[in-house]
Amino acid sequence: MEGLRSYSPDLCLVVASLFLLFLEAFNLGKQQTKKITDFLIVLFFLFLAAFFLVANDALDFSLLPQTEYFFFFNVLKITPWIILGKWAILLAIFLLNLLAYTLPSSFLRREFLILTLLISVAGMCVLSANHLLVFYLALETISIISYGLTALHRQEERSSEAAVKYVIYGGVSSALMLFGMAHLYGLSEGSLFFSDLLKFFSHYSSFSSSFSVALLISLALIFVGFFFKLSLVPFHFWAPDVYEGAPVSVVALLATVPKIAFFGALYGLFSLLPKDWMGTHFLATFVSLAGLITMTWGNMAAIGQTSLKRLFAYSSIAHAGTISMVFLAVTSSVSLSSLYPPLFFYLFFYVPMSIIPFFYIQQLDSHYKSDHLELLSGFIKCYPGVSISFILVLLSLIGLPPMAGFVAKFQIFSLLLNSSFYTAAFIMALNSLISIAYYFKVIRVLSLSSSVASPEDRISTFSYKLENFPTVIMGGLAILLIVLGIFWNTLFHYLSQYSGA
Amino acid sequence: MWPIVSIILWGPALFSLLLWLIPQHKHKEIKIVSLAGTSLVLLATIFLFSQVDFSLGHILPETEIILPWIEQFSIYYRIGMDGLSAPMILLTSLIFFLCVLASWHMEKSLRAYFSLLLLLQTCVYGVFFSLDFFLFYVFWEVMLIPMFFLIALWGGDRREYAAIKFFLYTFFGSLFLLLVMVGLYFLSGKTADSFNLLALAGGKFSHSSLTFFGVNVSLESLFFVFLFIAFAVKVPVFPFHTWLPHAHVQAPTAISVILAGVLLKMGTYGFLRISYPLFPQAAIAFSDIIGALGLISVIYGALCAMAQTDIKRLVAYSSVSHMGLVMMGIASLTPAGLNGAVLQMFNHGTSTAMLFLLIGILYERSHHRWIVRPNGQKGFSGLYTQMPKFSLVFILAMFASMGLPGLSGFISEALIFFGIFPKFTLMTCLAVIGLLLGAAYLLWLFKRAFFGEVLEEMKQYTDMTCWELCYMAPLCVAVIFLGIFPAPLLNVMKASVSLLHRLVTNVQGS
Repeated sequence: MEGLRSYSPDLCLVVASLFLLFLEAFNLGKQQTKKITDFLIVLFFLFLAAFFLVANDALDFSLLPQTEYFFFFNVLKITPWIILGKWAILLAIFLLNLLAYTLPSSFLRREFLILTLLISVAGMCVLSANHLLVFYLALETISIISYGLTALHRQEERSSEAAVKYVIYGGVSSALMLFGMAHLYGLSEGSLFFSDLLKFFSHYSSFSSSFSVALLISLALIFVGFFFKLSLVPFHFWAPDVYEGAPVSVVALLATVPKIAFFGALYGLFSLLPKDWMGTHFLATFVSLAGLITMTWGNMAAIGQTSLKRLFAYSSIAHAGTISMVFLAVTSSVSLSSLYPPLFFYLFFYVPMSIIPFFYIQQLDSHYKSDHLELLSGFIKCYPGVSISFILVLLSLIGLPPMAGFVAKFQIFSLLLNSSFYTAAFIMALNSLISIAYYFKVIRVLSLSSSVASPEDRISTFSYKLENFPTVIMGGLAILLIVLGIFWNTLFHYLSQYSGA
Repeated sequence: MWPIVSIILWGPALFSLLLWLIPQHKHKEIKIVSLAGTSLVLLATIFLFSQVDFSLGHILPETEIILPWIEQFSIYYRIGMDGLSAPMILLTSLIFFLCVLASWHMEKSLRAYFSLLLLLQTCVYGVFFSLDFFLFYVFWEVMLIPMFFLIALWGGDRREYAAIKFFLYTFFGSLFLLLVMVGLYFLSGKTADSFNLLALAGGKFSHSSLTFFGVNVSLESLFFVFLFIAFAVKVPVFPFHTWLPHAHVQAPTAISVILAGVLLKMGTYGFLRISYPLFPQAAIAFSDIIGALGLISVIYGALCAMAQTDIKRLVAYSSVSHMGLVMMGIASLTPAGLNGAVLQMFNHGTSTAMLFLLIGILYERSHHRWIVRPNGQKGFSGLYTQMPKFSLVFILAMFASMGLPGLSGFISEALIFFGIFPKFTLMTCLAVIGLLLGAAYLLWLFKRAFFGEVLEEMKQYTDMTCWELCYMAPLCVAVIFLGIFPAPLLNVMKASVSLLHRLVTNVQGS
C-alpha cells in the first residue's frame, strides 16, 4: 500500500495514456471536440498526479533528508530529489500538453500525447529505479518511444531518415550500456540493486588496482549511455539531425523529459559512488569535461544556424553541457548534496525556457512549413505580446539578470567557484558571451528587421492561432521567469531544505 | 526619507509600466506621463538634497534601506546615498528630465521608447544607489537591455551593429564583474556581509592568493584587474573604447546624451565605489598603469576627435579624452585629484549633454552631421549667421567642454591637474597637450562649421525654437554657475571623497 502511494503519480500518467488510447482505439468523441477533450483529460490526470506527488511530499523528508523509501520489491525508491525530478517532468508535460493543443489537425495529436505521457512515466521510472535492470528497461522504453516519435511523420523523408539514424546510434549506445551493466553485475558479485551496489562500493579501499580499472571500464560504458542520452560530446552526433528531422513538438519533448530523467539518474549514480574513490573523480571529470566541450561546441555551432529548430536544438545541447558542469563539484570537497540546488534549479528553469521557444516555432512551422529564422522578422509589429515574451525567454536563456536563467547559471557558477574550479567557471561565463551571438540574432530578427509578409497578411492568416489561451499561458510563464529571477528565495529554500545542507 | 529614495529609484520604472495603460496612438498623453515621471523624480531628488547633510561623508543613514532579499546567499536589498553617488544621482535626474523634453518630437513607437527610457533610468539609479554587490550587478546588467533596444530600434542606419557591439562589449566586461562578485562571496567566508560593499571595503583581501597552474597570484591584484576590465569598458578607457563611437553615432539624440552624460560615469563610479575601496593596495600598485592608460585616452581621444568629419563622432571621441582625465584624477589618489575627478564626472555630464543636444537640434534641420562630406564638400558653413542663438549656446557648451576659466570644465580640470601633478609630473605635462588638442579640435570645428558663407541648402535652417532653448537653459545655468561657484557641489562630495582617500591611503601606511 505504501508502495502504491509512492507510485501513484506515475500511475496517474499511465492511466491517462491508457484512457486516451482507449478513446483512440474505439474512435470515441466528436472530431470537433477531440482537441479540447484530449487537453482536458491530460490536464485532469496531471493535476491528479501533482496531487499525489504533494501527498508523497508529505512523507516529510524535511526532517530526515537522507531517507529513502523502497517499494515494489525494492526495485523502485523515492527520495527528495526524485520527487523534485518528478515535479520537473510534470511541469514539462503541462507545457507539452499546451503545445499539443495548438498542433494542427493534420498532426497525430493524440498519438503524440499518449507517447508523451508514456515517455514521462518511463522518465520517472529512470529517476526512481533502484535496480539496474529496471533502470535499463525504463531507459529503453524512453529510447523506443523516442524513435517512434521521431518518425511520427512517416511520409516525410527527413523524419524517417532521422529516426533510422537515431535507432542505429541509440541501439549501439544501449548495447554498450548493457555491456557495462553486465560487467558491473559480474564484478559486484551478482547484485543489481543500487542499495547493494552502494554497499559494494563502500569497500572501495580494498579494491585492487586491476579490479578498479575493470570496474571503471564497466562504469565508463554505462556513462557512454548517459552521454548519448544527454547528447554530450563526443556522443552528440545524432542530436542535430534528429532534432531537425523530428516534428517541432517532438523536439520540445526530447529536449526536456529525457534530459531531466537522465540528469537525475546521473545524480543518483554519483550518490552511489564513494566520494573519495579515485574512480568517482575520474568519472566526474569525464562528465564535466564533456559538458564543458559540449557547451562550447553547442554554442559555437548554434551561431551559424538559420533554421530555428536547429538553432534551439544546439542551444539545448549547450544547456545540457552547462548542467553537466555541476558534476565537476563531485571531485572537490563540497558535499554531494550541495550539487542538488543548482542542478534542480537549472532543470526546473530549463523546462519552460526550452519548451516556450519550440512552442512559438511550432506555430510558425505549421503555418509556413518552414522554420527559417527570417520568418520571424518584424514579428514585434504584428504580435507584440508574443514577441516580448519570446524576447524575455531568450534573455533568460542567455542568463541575463533578473531572469530565472541568470539565477540558474549563477548557482552553477557559484558552485564551481566554491569548489575552486576557476577556469571552468570562467569558460562557462565566456560561453554565455558566445551564446549572446545567436540568441541576439533571434532577438534582432524578431524586433528589428522589417517584416517580410505585410502585417495585414499575417493577421488575416496567422493570428487566430496566436491568440489562443496556450499562448497566454506561455506569455504568463515568460513573465514568471522574471518574477522567479528576482524572488528565488523561497524556491531556493525549498530545494536546499531537502539537501540537508 | 526612505519613501523619497524609493520614489527616485522605482518611480521611473512605475511610470514605465504606467505608460502601457495608455493607448499607443495617444502621443501627447504618453509624453506628458513620461514628463510627469521624470519631473517627479527630479523634484524628489532636489527635495532629498535639501533635507540631508553631506558633511560627514558616510552613507547617509536616512537614505539607507536594508531588506533581506535572498537570505541563503546573504544577498540584501541594500541601498543608500553618500557624497560619491549624490552628484551622479542629481545628474541622472537632470539629464533624463531633459532627455524627455528633447525627445518631444519623436514619432516612432513613442510608448515603447519612453517606457524603455524610464526603465533605463531606474537601472541607472539602481547602480548609483546599490550598496550590495549583487544588487549592483543586477542593475548593471539589466541596464543593457533597455539600452540595447533604444539604440537598436531608434538609432541610425547601422544601429543594429552598434547596439550589438555595445551589448557584447559591456557584457564581456560584466562577466568579470560577476567573477569578482562570486569570488569575493566565497573569499569573505559566506558571512552575512559577503555582498555588502561597505563591509567588504578596506583591503581585507590583501593576503589572499591563489595558485594557478603553479603560479602564485595575489587575489587582490587579480580581482582588481578583473574589475578594471569590467569598468574600463564602460568608461571607456583606451583600449576598450571602440564601441563608443559607433554607439554614439547610431543612437538617437536623447540616448547619446544619456550615454555620454550618465552611463559613462557608471564606469568611473564603479572604480570609486568598488575597485578602490575593496582593493586599495592593488589600486596603489596599479596607479601608474591606470594613470598611463588615462593619459593615452586623453591624447588618443583628442587626436581621434581631430580627425573626425562627423560632429557626433567628434564629440564621442572627446568623451574618451575627458573620461581619460577623470581616470588620471582617480589614479592619482590625492584629495584634489579625486575631488576633481568626481566634479569632472558631473561637469562632463552637463557639458557633453549640451553638445549632444545641440547636435541633435542641428540634425533635425540638416539631416546630416558632416563637417566635411565624404566627397570633400563642406557639410556646414556659416552656422553663426544662420542660427545665432544656436551658435551662442554652442559656444558656451564648447568652452565649458574645453575648460575655459569661468565655466564648469575649468574648475574640475584644474583640480585634477593639481591632484595629478605631484604624482605623475611627466604625465601631467603630456596631459596638458591633450587639453590643448581638445581646444584645437573644438575651435577647428567651430571655424569650419560656424564661420564662412552660408551654404545654399542651409538657408532654410531655422534658429533654435523656444522649446529647445527651454531645455538647454538648465544646462547653461549649471555650466556657468558651477564655473563660478562650484562650492555647493564640492561640499556634497568633499567629505565622502576624503573618506575614500583615507580608506585607500591608510592601508598603504599600515
